[in-house]
Amino acid sequence: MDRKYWFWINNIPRIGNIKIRKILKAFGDDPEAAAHAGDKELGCIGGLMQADIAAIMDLNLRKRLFEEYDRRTEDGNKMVFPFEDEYPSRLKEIYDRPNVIYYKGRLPVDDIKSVAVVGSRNCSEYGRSVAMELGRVLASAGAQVISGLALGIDVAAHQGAVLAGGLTFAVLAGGVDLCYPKQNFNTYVDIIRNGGIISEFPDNTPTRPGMFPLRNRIISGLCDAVIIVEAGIKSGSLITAAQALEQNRQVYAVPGRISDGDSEGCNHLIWQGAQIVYSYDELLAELNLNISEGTKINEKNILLASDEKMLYSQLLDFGPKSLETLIKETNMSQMQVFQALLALELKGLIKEISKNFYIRII
Amino acid sequence: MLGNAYTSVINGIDAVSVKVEADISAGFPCFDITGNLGVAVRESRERVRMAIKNSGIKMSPARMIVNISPADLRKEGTHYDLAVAMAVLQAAGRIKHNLCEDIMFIGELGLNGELRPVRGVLPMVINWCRSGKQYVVLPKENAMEASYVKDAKIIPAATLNEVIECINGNHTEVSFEKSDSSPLTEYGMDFADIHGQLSLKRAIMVAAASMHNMLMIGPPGAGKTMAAERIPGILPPMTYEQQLELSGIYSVAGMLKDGISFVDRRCFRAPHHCITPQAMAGGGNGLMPGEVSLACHGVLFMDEFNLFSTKTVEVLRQPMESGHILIDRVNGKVEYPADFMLVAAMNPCKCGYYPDRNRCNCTPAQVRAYFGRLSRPLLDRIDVCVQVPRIKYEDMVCDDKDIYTNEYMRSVVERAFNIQNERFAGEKYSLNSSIPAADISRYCVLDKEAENLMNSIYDSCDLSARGYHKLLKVARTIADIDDSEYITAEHICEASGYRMV
Repeated sequence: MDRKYWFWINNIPRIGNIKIRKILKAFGDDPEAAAHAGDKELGCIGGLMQADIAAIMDLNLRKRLFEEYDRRTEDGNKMVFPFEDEYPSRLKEIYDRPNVIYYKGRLPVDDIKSVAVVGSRNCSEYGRSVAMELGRVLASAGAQVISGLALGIDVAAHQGAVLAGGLTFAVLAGGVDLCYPKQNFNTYVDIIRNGGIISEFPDNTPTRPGMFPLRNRIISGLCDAVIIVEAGIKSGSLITAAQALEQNRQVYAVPGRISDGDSEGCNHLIWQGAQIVYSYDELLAELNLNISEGTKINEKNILLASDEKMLYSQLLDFGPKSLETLIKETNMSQMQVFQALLALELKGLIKEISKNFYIRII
Repeated sequence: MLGNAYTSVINGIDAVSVKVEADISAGFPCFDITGNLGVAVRESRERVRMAIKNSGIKMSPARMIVNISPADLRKEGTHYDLAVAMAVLQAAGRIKHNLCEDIMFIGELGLNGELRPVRGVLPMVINWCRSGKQYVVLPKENAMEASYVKDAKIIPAATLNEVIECINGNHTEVSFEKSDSSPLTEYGMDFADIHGQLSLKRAIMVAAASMHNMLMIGPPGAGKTMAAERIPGILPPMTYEQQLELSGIYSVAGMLKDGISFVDRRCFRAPHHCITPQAMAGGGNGLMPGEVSLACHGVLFMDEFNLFSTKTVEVLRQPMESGHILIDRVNGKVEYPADFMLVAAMNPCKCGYYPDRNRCNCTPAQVRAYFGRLSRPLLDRIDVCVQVPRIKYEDMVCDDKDIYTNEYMRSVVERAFNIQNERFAGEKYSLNSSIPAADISRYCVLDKEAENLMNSIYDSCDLSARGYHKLLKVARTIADIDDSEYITAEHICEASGYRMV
């Protein structure tokens, strides 16, 4: 089959994925046949307007798009179509598969487990550290970590995977050459090196709000299981979860506290029957992944003095606590608290996120 | 016939004596003044002529020329009137010549012959006395402020006639009683009024003990302003030289009035955040001192620190480093002292509650942007950064006083000041906060444990060289409060808790 025609059918203005799906169904997945079809044949397809048929039969447009295809392949833009072997087979299964995938770097491999780690942009420090840890654990167990490069949970998951030197893939809403959001450019570069960037839209397509649900269906479509780390009740990650269920993927959620608004969506998912992420080891076992030595957390073998231990284990929480509170609750002097906090910070166990507000990170 | 009288030109907070010469000769009647004059000085000839006439002194029409020398110095202000009048009266033979040689005349004349107060008296009197002379004639409203200069003999007067009388009567003493200048230490506000907030009060004490610049971060209504207002109250009294310098600045700025004749307390300046860079630095018409100079030896409080325009805030950089500010404008170049303690306050984010996620909905990007308005070099110059948490209900209603009262804090700060004065006896500076980088290793001596700790902090916290020195200076101050000769690990720990985030 000719890739040119596939490129052409994906780039006709005003013909989106739904219409393409209908056309391809009518012509047995052969866009070339559609190109050579007449008025009548095209008119039989429900949902196609007169203007659409004219656009399909517009030879000038076709010529222009063919030229553009040549130019893009010359430029080294990578794309893959459903009839090709490289096209991820997991995506083929889903009901509204993308009819083209543009990518940078590599594509996810079919016979390696893929796991998506997604969550809200506006996450807590705890959520960030869990996402990072999940990314790290999954990648070092050999899984492909897939997410959306968004701020917050998504990027933390990517970073964790990069840290472990594993495979990670980011699905963008806009074109793969535009790093969105641009704050994550460093991670974007790391991901290209450790895996790939994937999108349904051609290069230079700016990201618009309506594209995110489309992007989310690819994220869930590309993987075997989706883990929601932190999601509010109105979070876009819940769309991913819903689509994952539709696509028959396993959904996991990281539990939060009852009163915690950041985790309300996750808790709701669990209540509805989603799997709970209760420990990293159990998670790996359930996903049939090997628990390697690198996945074990080395938290226990750090030696702490008694003051530090008291601060660390009893008081410091994954929510931030102020210096004043710590002094009051420990009955230690300000000097002692400062000393213990500095020691913990130097050991990398806690972090000062705002002035004199401390949280534990492991 | 010739007549001479002396007065002064103000330049910054310094003054230069100038001589007013008058000549009356026959010819077409006129009255001219020369000598690079500003508008207000040029207008003085009308005031002088009418004041002389209305004081009942008859002058026959003649050619009167007045020159203020040196003629190349720019003259601004209205205080030349009296000297011009005295020179003219001498030239007209109304006053004996030799009487005015050792007297400086300061004052603006009204058309009815009365003397009106002027600004900048203090620097003029200081300069006059420095040149070995003593007598100064000035408006009685300005007499109080001039009397703080130790050697000066002040002759206050209310009208031109009074001035002539006391000159002709060979300086008949219109004696002036010096008000007793016992330093006032009561500011009417006490740290005991602030309940709880122990860590804040401790940090303020550390900062005040060496006038370290500090930044308070906290939610609205936590007590940042309340705490800042009380800082001048725990600083030790200024020395006489500092008082004189500060009063000079206020005198030049025309702010010594309404019964305030001398600034003997630490100042608290809290400019609003819409202030312009010029008002902050100084300048404008007459090159007035700005807020940084008015806060000299005291506290410059900047509430909502990040809402100040970027330019205004960056103006602070040079004075924070050097302790003075050089203002260079079209109409001159002056240097004002600007050795202040910066106390800045701000909210952690737009809504003010970060990192309390139950109340704050700001995204991390918004929080970063809120902080991002402050430049890193400026934050680098702030030594003590502290968080002011929301006050708890139990603390607010509890009436138990903690140890942090003004009395206790002032005694601690004063002791630390004394230690520092002793240590830096031979140096140009007298506080830890102004130790130059070259001298740090000499004065900030660490013990073994502290050195190891400092090493690991430097590596893991990614300090800059300035940040490293800053940490050592704060640790030095904490050690002084502790009366310890060496800086120990404890001191480093606490200082590191005051690090900028």
